Amino acid sequence: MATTATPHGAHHDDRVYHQFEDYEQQTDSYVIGMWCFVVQEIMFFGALFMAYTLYRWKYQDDFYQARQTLNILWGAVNTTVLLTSSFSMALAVHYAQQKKQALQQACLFFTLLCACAFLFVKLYFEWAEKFRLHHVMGPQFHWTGSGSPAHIQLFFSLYFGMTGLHGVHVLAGIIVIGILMFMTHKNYPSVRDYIPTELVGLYWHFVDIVWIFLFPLFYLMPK
Amino acid sequence: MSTKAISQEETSHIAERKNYLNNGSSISSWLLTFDHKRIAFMYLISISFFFLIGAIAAGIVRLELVSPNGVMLENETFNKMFSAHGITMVFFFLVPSIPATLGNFLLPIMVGARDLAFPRMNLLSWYLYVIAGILLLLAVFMGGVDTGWTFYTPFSSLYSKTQVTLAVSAAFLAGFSSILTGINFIVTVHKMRCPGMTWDRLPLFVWAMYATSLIMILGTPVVAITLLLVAFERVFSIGVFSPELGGDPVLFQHMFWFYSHPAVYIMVLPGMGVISEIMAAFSRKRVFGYHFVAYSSLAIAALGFIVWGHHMFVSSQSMYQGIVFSLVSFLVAVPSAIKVFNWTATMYKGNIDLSTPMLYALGFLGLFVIGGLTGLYLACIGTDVHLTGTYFVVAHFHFVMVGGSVTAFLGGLHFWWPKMFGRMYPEFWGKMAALITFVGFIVTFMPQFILGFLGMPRRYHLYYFAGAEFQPYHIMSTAGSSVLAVGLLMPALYLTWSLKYGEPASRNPFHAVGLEWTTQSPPPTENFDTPPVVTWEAYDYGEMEAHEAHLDEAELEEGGEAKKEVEKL
Amino acid sequence: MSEHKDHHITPISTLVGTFLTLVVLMALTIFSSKIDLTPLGNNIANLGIAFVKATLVVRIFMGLAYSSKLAKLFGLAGFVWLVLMGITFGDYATRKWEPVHGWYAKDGGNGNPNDPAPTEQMRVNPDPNPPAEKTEE
Repeated sequence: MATTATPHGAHHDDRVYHQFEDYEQQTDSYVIGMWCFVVQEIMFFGALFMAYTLYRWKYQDDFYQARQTLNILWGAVNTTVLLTSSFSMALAVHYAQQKKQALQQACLFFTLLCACAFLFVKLYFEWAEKFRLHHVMGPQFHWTGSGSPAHIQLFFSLYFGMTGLHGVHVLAGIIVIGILMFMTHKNYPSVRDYIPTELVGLYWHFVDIVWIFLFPLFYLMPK
Repeated sequence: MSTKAISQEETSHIAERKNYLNNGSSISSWLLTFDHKRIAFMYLISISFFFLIGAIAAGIVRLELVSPNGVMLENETFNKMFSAHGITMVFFFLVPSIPATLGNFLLPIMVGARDLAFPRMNLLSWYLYVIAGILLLLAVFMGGVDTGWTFYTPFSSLYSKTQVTLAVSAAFLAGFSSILTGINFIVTVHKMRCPGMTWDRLPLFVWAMYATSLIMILGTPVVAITLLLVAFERVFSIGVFSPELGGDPVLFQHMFWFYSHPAVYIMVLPGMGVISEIMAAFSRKRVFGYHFVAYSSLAIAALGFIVWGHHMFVSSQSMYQGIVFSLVSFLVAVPSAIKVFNWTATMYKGNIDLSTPMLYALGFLGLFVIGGLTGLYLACIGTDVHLTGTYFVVAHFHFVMVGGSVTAFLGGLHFWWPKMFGRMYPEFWGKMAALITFVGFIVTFMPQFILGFLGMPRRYHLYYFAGAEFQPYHIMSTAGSSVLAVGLLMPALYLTWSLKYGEPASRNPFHAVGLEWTTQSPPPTENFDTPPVVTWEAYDYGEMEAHEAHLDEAELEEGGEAKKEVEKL
Repeated sequence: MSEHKDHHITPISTLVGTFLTLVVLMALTIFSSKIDLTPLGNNIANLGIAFVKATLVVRIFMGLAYSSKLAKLFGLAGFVWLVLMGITFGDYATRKWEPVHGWYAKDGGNGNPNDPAPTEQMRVNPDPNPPAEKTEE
């Protein structure tokens, strides 16, 4: 009886890694593994949402004052951009499942563009203005409006913290999508089937969901 | 009863057999391996290294406490010592210990798989751990941290002048290492069980690892973001916990303990899984109340998430919320007690074999019960007001973590050592080490209960205000710690020795039931020569003789073939 | 063993429909924020719409509606963080609650049965010029 590396008997599907028995087990495992990761990310952001909700409840008026400085238009643009990128990502998965590589790459590229647009709007239009107006926490902070500067600074701490962390996740998504596109282009065996695209899609949709909640909570805060 | 060792003849062809250890010997075959067994071995070396660091820090702390006016350290340095001890032991030893070493090694074999679901992610886990460890060492060498392992704000976020950012980054990365391990385990248990391995036939160790992984995935991200916010506050002035901005430092405590309480169950549940296995094997009896033990692991995981406030009774937390936390803390003791009763019932009318692993398991039973019961004093708010922040708490958690987790880890290490490395450890020295550790541990930590009750605060460097009263207990504790150190050092020495000079082990030296005992010692890279199909219940010690005879026959056949191959060369 | 189980491929029409619904919902939430529905109403509207959007993304874009039961179970696990939020809020919400009468000694240690209310007993440093006592000392 052989003792080493030859895998189990019968058919050996090329797409299946050695630890799995068949393709279905592999795909199911990857999908629920990715869901585990997404759940973990939800816990990560969830704690931040809790901190935000707590402070908003305590300092509603001051937070409302600060929220007035946020530009709803840019927020809406970003939301639309991100929703579109989610749509194109879902399309990319659709085409990957149908093995239409050219369309898949096109959709992935469009997702990438949207993501970059999102970051651009955020950094160039929104954050830059905040830096100019000295709304950024730290020694440069200077608040001229009404409301307690301390609490306003807390608002901006949360704002920069949460949108910043979200932005980091968008950046990570850009990198991962870029790598996926590159590997697909070069026909690497590991991206031959649609599963890697689906997994990247799951991550990307999660990033979108975080923004879906960030947008109303920060930009559309009622009085 | 056949012996654990084997004949000279069999020795030679066992040594010749290809297994995961001799399947490739270059550095890259180890550092770039995807084999869960090799990764487990690398984890074993890394966590042992960090255990040494943490133990040295502990030794220095204990030395320092011998005198009410301190011995050789400045106050700041003392703070850095206990912080280093805590951070290293919690994040870099206890959390990964059993899951990353025994879990990584055994989980796939116990479910009958060839590897974990995501072997590459497993390797990534290890690298994250190593990088985190390097960051921690960097933090220590660049001055250390003096906030305690709990990093309470606003001291850690605003006022401490030590390497807090580095240390929390290290803990952050170590957290992600454990999250990835958790994901791997959950998917493996759900998806990669071999034919016939239903949930009801899984070893209780697997149930324990599953519950642990649930906690890892759901709890660790929260402490990750909490520590990240502390780092952000120090670097970017993002003052979420800063009182000057209206933030609440107690919010940090809520978020921190939301993970750190379940974290202690991450530390103890795997240990309980190990004890279930050892109890069955060395009582030669199935575990009493299998389903109760299995579901109690899940219950501990679930209840463990809603008790975190018992670390915060005196923190200005609402008294009413405290009552809720107190009630649930009492409840969470119940599943643990269920397990203890079941293990005791397992031993009843069993055929007890007092080998080294069983000695550790018995030690666990006693020490964990003491630790758990003293936890109830702390769960009760009234007594907690008196005991919190004292050495009573320190003694309580050392009983459950050292007397519990570390003892179980050592027991499991000895139990599965022959399987992992194909060598037996010296039984006499094993028993000696178990006894010395037990005695040393009790002498170290029992006096601390009394100290705490008398009022000695924890994390205090000097206690001249009650020197005469406290000093005898401190001296006793330090004396005990030196015995404990000997007891813990011994396995490090003889286990390493046995790697080269120990008696070669047979496939099933302890005649235990379990899939891991059906494959050779050490296992081949693919774990099984033929994929197993399970038709027997867990801990089927009744049917064992017939099954073992069948396996022994197969082995002799195989041995004969291998012998022929060797002769051909 | 079949090589390829028919994985559900979401039709493009469904994806387009979902996308358009999401954009409409976004417009709706912006619109509703401009109307004053009382702060509570606005909050409910905002969060409610966000929840619907998130559900659409999870079910259709992420494919959870077409996934195995196990995947759906894992998706549900995403709500565990609400435990953290709920209980922490329980703390902050109940901090200001008055202590229950009768839990403290009836007298402030003075042996006087007609003592002040419990909250006043909790003062560590009593006011050197206390207001007129309710009873004679």
